[in-house]
Amino acid sequence: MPMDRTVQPDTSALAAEVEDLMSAPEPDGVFRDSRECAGAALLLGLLLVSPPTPRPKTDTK
Amino acid sequence: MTDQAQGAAALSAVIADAASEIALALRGEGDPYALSRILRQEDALAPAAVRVLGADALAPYALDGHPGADGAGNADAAMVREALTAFPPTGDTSAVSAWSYHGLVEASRAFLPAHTTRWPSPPEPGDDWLDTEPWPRLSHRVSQLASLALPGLALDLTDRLAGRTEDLARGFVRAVRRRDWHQSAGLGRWLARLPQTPPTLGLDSGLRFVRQMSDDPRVAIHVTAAQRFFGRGR
Repeated sequence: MPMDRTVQPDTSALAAEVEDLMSAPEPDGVFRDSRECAGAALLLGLLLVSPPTPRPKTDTK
Repeated sequence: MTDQAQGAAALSAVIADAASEIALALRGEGDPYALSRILRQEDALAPAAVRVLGADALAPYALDGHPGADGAGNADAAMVREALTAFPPTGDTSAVSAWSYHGLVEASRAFLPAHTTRWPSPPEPGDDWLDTEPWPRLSHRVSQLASLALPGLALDLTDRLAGRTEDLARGFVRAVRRRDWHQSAGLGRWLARLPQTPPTLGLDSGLRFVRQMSDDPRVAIHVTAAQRFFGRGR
Protein backbone atom coordinates (compact mmCIF):
# COMPACT_ATOMS: atom_id res chain seq x y z
CA MET A 1 0.00 0.00 0.00
CA PRO A 2 1.54 3.37 -0.91
CA MET A 3 2.45 5.68 1.98
CA ASP A 4 0.56 8.91 2.52
CA ARG A 5 3.48 11.32 2.55
CA THR A 6 1.47 14.25 3.85
CA VAL A 7 0.99 12.48 7.20
CA GLN A 8 3.59 13.53 9.78
CA PRO A 9 5.83 10.53 10.41
CA ASP A 10 7.24 9.60 13.81
CA THR A 11 9.81 12.36 14.36
CA SER A 12 12.30 10.36 16.41
CA ALA A 13 12.26 7.49 13.90
CA LEU A 14 12.75 9.94 11.06
CA ALA A 15 15.61 11.64 12.91
CA ALA A 16 17.26 8.25 13.36
CA GLU A 17 16.86 7.53 9.63
CA VAL A 18 18.39 10.88 8.77
CA GLU A 19 21.32 10.17 11.06
CA ASP A 20 21.77 6.69 9.58
CA LEU A 21 21.77 8.01 6.03
CA MET A 22 24.31 10.72 6.81
CA SER A 23 26.70 8.64 8.88
CA ALA A 24 26.35 5.22 7.31
CA PRO A 25 29.25 2.92 8.16
CA GLU A 26 31.54 1.89 5.39
CA PRO A 27 30.33 -1.24 3.59
CA ASP A 28 32.21 -4.37 4.58
CA GLY A 29 34.94 -5.34 2.25
CA VAL A 30 38.38 -6.78 2.23
CA PHE A 31 41.13 -4.46 1.17
CA ARG A 32 44.71 -5.56 0.90
CA ASP A 33 47.46 -3.03 0.79
CA SER A 34 49.45 -3.52 -2.45
CA ARG A 35 52.75 -2.98 -0.70
CA GLU A 36 51.95 -5.57 1.95
CA CYS A 37 50.88 -8.03 -0.77
CA ALA A 38 54.08 -7.38 -2.71
CA GLY A 39 56.13 -7.94 0.44
CA ALA A 40 54.35 -11.20 1.18
CA ALA A 41 54.80 -12.40 -2.42
CA LEU A 42 58.50 -11.54 -2.33
CA LEU A 43 58.98 -13.41 0.94
CA LEU A 44 57.16 -16.46 -0.43
CA GLY A 45 59.26 -16.35 -3.60
CA LEU A 46 62.50 -16.12 -1.64
CA LEU A 47 61.47 -19.07 0.48
CA LEU A 48 60.64 -21.14 -2.61
CA VAL A 49 63.86 -20.42 -4.50
CA SER A 50 66.16 -20.57 -1.50
CA PRO A 51 68.54 -23.57 -1.41
CA PRO A 52 67.85 -26.23 1.19
CA THR A 53 69.34 -25.77 4.59
CA PRO A 54 72.81 -27.36 4.67
CA ARG A 55 72.86 -30.36 6.95
CA PRO A 56 75.75 -32.56 8.01
CA LYS A 57 76.09 -35.79 6.07
CA THR A 58 74.92 -38.75 8.05
CA ASP A 59 76.21 -41.64 5.86
CA THR A 60 79.98 -41.67 6.43
CA LYS A 61 81.93 -44.17 4.28
CA MET B 1 8.31 -4.83 4.71
CA THR B 2 8.26 -3.29 8.21
CA ASP B 3 7.06 0.27 8.73
CA GLN B 4 10.61 1.35 9.55
CA ALA B 5 12.04 -0.21 6.40
CA GLN B 6 9.22 1.25 4.32
CA GLY B 7 9.89 4.67 5.83
CA ALA B 8 13.61 4.42 5.10
CA ALA B 9 12.93 3.33 1.52
CA ALA B 10 10.50 6.22 1.03
CA LEU B 11 13.03 8.74 2.35
CA SER B 12 15.77 7.29 0.14
CA ALA B 13 13.45 7.61 -2.87
CA VAL B 14 12.70 11.27 -2.10
CA ILE B 15 16.43 11.97 -1.71
CA ALA B 16 17.24 10.18 -4.97
CA ASP B 17 14.58 12.14 -6.88
CA ALA B 18 15.84 15.44 -5.50
CA ALA B 19 19.46 14.49 -6.18
CA SER B 20 18.62 13.71 -9.82
CA GLU B 21 17.13 17.18 -10.24
CA ILE B 22 20.12 18.82 -8.54
CA ALA B 23 22.56 16.96 -10.82
CA LEU B 24 20.49 18.02 -13.81
CA ALA B 25 20.54 21.65 -12.68
CA LEU B 26 24.31 21.50 -12.12
CA ARG B 27 24.71 20.33 -15.71
CA GLY B 28 22.70 23.37 -16.77
CA GLU B 29 19.76 21.32 -17.98
CA GLY B 30 16.10 21.36 -17.05
CA ASP B 31 14.04 24.18 -15.63
CA PRO B 32 15.63 26.97 -13.55
CA TYR B 33 16.48 25.42 -10.22
CA ALA B 34 14.49 25.95 -7.06
CA LEU B 35 14.51 23.61 -4.09
CA SER B 36 10.82 24.21 -3.54
CA ARG B 37 10.21 23.05 -7.10
CA ILE B 38 11.91 19.67 -6.72
CA LEU B 39 10.51 18.88 -3.26
CA ARG B 40 6.87 19.33 -2.36
CA GLN B 41 6.50 21.52 0.71
CA GLU B 42 3.59 19.47 1.98
CA ASP B 43 5.66 16.28 1.77
CA ALA B 44 6.45 15.28 5.35
CA LEU B 45 9.75 13.77 4.18
CA ALA B 46 10.98 16.92 2.45
CA PRO B 47 12.76 18.45 5.50
CA ALA B 48 14.52 15.14 6.17
CA ALA B 49 15.63 14.97 2.54
CA VAL B 50 17.01 18.52 2.70
CA ARG B 51 18.88 17.69 5.91
CA VAL B 52 20.47 14.58 4.35
CA LEU B 53 21.41 16.39 1.14
CA GLY B 54 22.92 19.21 3.20
CA ALA B 55 24.52 22.07 1.29
CA ASP B 56 23.95 20.18 -1.98
CA ALA B 57 20.28 21.13 -1.71
CA LEU B 58 21.42 24.65 -2.63
CA ALA B 59 24.39 23.70 -4.85
CA PRO B 60 22.86 24.97 -8.15
CA TYR B 61 22.73 28.45 -6.58
CA ALA B 62 26.54 28.43 -6.56
CA LEU B 63 26.73 28.28 -10.36
CA ASP B 64 27.98 31.39 -12.11
CA GLY B 65 25.13 33.18 -13.79
CA HIS B 66 22.46 31.25 -11.92
CA PRO B 67 19.29 32.94 -13.04
CA GLY B 68 17.98 33.18 -9.49
CA ALA B 69 15.20 31.38 -7.84
CA ASP B 70 12.53 32.93 -10.04
CA GLY B 71 10.60 34.12 -7.04
CA ALA B 72 11.09 30.83 -5.22
CA GLY B 73 13.82 32.06 -2.88
CA ASN B 74 11.48 32.67 0.04
CA ALA B 75 9.97 29.22 -0.32
CA ASP B 76 13.44 27.67 -0.57
CA ALA B 77 14.61 29.53 2.52
CA ALA B 78 11.52 28.34 4.39
CA MET B 79 12.21 24.73 3.40
CA VAL B 80 15.82 24.90 4.54
CA ARG B 81 14.81 26.56 7.78
CA GLU B 82 12.26 23.83 8.43
CA ALA B 83 14.93 21.16 7.86
CA LEU B 84 17.35 22.92 10.20
CA THR B 85 14.68 23.28 12.88
CA ALA B 86 13.40 19.71 12.59
CA PHE B 87 16.80 17.99 12.70
CA PRO B 88 19.22 20.00 14.80
CA PRO B 89 22.43 18.43 16.07
CA THR B 90 22.03 16.84 19.49
CA GLY B 91 24.42 15.26 21.96
CA ASP B 92 24.21 11.95 20.06
CA THR B 93 24.78 13.50 16.65
CA SER B 94 27.77 12.17 14.73
CA ALA B 95 30.58 14.46 13.63
CA VAL B 96 29.48 14.06 9.99
CA SER B 97 25.94 15.14 10.84
CA ALA B 98 27.18 18.15 12.84
CA TRP B 99 29.45 19.24 9.96
CA SER B 100 26.67 18.74 7.45
CA TYR B 101 24.30 20.89 9.53
CA HIS B 102 26.95 23.57 9.76
CA GLY B 103 27.47 23.38 5.99
CA LEU B 104 23.75 23.77 5.28
CA VAL B 105 23.60 26.89 7.46
CA GLU B 106 26.68 28.29 5.74
CA ALA B 107 25.24 27.54 2.29
CA SER B 108 21.95 29.22 3.20
CA ARG B 109 23.74 32.39 4.27
CA ALA B 110 25.92 32.37 1.16
CA PHE B 111 23.40 31.40 -1.51
CA LEU B 112 20.16 32.86 -0.17
CA PRO B 113 21.47 36.22 1.08
CA ALA B 114 18.38 38.14 0.04
CA HIS B 115 16.15 36.10 2.28
CA THR B 116 16.54 37.48 5.70
CA THR B 117 15.54 34.38 7.53
CA ARG B 118 17.29 34.23 10.85
CA TRP B 119 19.49 31.21 10.36
CA PRO B 120 20.52 29.28 13.45
CA SER B 121 24.05 29.67 14.76
CA PRO B 122 25.26 26.13 15.32
CA PRO B 123 28.27 25.43 17.52
CA GLU B 124 31.52 24.74 15.73
CA PRO B 125 31.67 21.02 15.00
CA GLY B 126 34.51 18.96 16.42
CA ASP B 127 37.58 18.75 14.20
CA ASP B 128 40.11 16.66 16.16
CA TRP B 129 39.53 13.71 13.85
CA LEU B 130 40.88 15.66 10.89
CA ASP B 131 44.39 15.21 12.24
CA THR B 132 44.10 11.94 14.07
CA GLU B 133 42.01 9.56 11.95
CA PRO B 134 43.94 6.98 9.93
CA TRP B 135 43.61 7.50 6.19
CA PRO B 136 40.91 4.88 5.43
CA ARG B 137 38.56 6.21 8.11
CA LEU B 138 39.39 9.81 7.28
CA SER B 139 38.56 9.13 3.64
CA HIS B 140 35.22 7.57 4.51
CA ARG B 141 34.20 10.49 6.71
CA VAL B 142 35.40 13.15 4.31
CA SER B 143 33.48 11.53 1.46
CA GLN B 144 30.32 11.85 3.56
CA LEU B 145 30.98 15.59 3.75
CA ALA B 146 31.32 16.06 0.00
CA SER B 147 28.36 18.47 -0.05
CA LEU B 148 30.62 21.01 1.67
CA ALA B 149 32.96 21.06 -1.33
CA LEU B 150 31.27 24.07 -2.90
CA PRO B 151 32.82 27.40 -3.92
CA GLY B 152 33.21 29.70 -0.91
CA LEU B 153 32.04 27.12 1.62
CA ALA B 154 33.93 25.38 4.43
CA LEU B 155 37.18 27.21 3.77
CA ASP B 156 38.73 26.23 7.11
CA LEU B 157 37.87 22.59 6.53
CA THR B 158 39.41 22.78 3.06
CA ASP B 159 42.64 24.21 4.50
CA ARG B 160 42.82 21.42 7.05
CA LEU B 161 42.16 18.76 4.43
CA ALA B 162 44.83 20.21 2.16
CA GLY B 163 47.36 18.93 4.69
CA ARG B 164 46.06 15.40 4.15
CA THR B 165 45.73 15.45 0.38
CA GLU B 166 47.94 12.40 -0.01
CA ASP B 167 45.82 10.40 2.43
CA LEU B 168 42.65 11.37 0.57
CA ALA B 169 44.27 10.40 -2.73
CA ARG B 170 45.05 6.98 -1.29
CA GLY B 171 41.46 6.79 -0.07
CA PHE B 172 40.18 7.63 -3.56
CA VAL B 173 42.16 4.79 -5.12
CA ARG B 174 41.06 2.41 -2.38
CA ALA B 175 37.40 3.36 -2.81
CA VAL B 176 37.55 2.87 -6.60
CA ARG B 177 39.18 -0.53 -6.15
CA ARG B 178 36.45 -1.50 -3.67
CA ARG B 179 33.84 -0.27 -6.16
CA ASP B 180 32.46 2.05 -3.48
CA TRP B 181 31.23 4.62 -5.97
CA HIS B 182 29.66 6.93 -3.43
CA GLN B 183 32.89 7.24 -1.47
CA SER B 184 34.96 7.50 -4.68
CA ALA B 185 32.82 10.33 -6.01
CA GLY B 186 32.80 12.22 -2.69
CA LEU B 187 36.55 12.00 -2.33
CA GLY B 188 37.04 12.87 -5.99
CA ARG B 189 34.99 16.01 -5.47
CA TRP B 190 37.16 17.07 -2.53
CA LEU B 191 40.36 16.24 -4.41
CA ALA B 192 39.11 18.35 -7.32
CA ARG B 193 38.91 21.27 -4.91
CA LEU B 194 42.23 20.75 -3.13
CA PRO B 195 45.15 22.61 -4.69
CA GLN B 196 47.88 20.00 -4.38
CA THR B 197 46.19 16.86 -5.67
CA PRO B 198 48.97 14.85 -7.33
CA PRO B 199 48.66 14.77 -11.14
CA THR B 200 49.77 11.13 -11.07
CA LEU B 201 46.48 10.22 -9.34
CA GLY B 202 44.55 10.36 -12.63
CA LEU B 203 41.66 12.17 -10.98
CA ASP B 204 40.02 13.25 -14.22
CA SER B 205 39.81 9.80 -15.72
CA GLY B 206 38.98 8.37 -12.28
CA LEU B 207 35.97 10.66 -11.92
CA ARG B 208 34.78 9.84 -15.44
CA PHE B 209 35.10 6.13 -14.65
CA VAL B 210 33.12 6.47 -11.43
CA ARG B 211 30.38 8.40 -13.24
CA GLN B 212 30.17 5.69 -15.86
CA MET B 213 30.03 2.87 -13.33
CA SER B 214 27.33 4.29 -11.08
CA ASP B 215 23.78 5.39 -11.72
CA ASP B 216 23.37 6.76 -8.18
CA PRO B 217 22.11 10.36 -8.48
CA ARG B 218 24.21 11.47 -5.50
CA VAL B 219 27.30 10.18 -7.28
CA ALA B 220 26.15 12.24 -10.27
CA ILE B 221 25.98 15.36 -8.04
CA HIS B 222 29.55 14.85 -6.80
CA VAL B 223 31.03 14.22 -10.23
CA THR B 224 29.10 17.08 -11.83
CA ALA B 225 30.10 19.45 -9.00
CA ALA B 226 33.76 18.49 -9.53
CA GLN B 227 33.33 19.29 -13.22
CA ARG B 228 31.38 22.50 -12.96
CA PHE B 229 32.98 24.12 -9.92
CA PHE B 230 36.54 22.85 -10.06
CA GLY B 231 37.04 21.89 -13.71
CA ARG B 232 38.00 18.25 -13.06
CA GLY B 233 36.68 15.01 -14.51
CA ARG B 234 35.51 16.50 -17.81
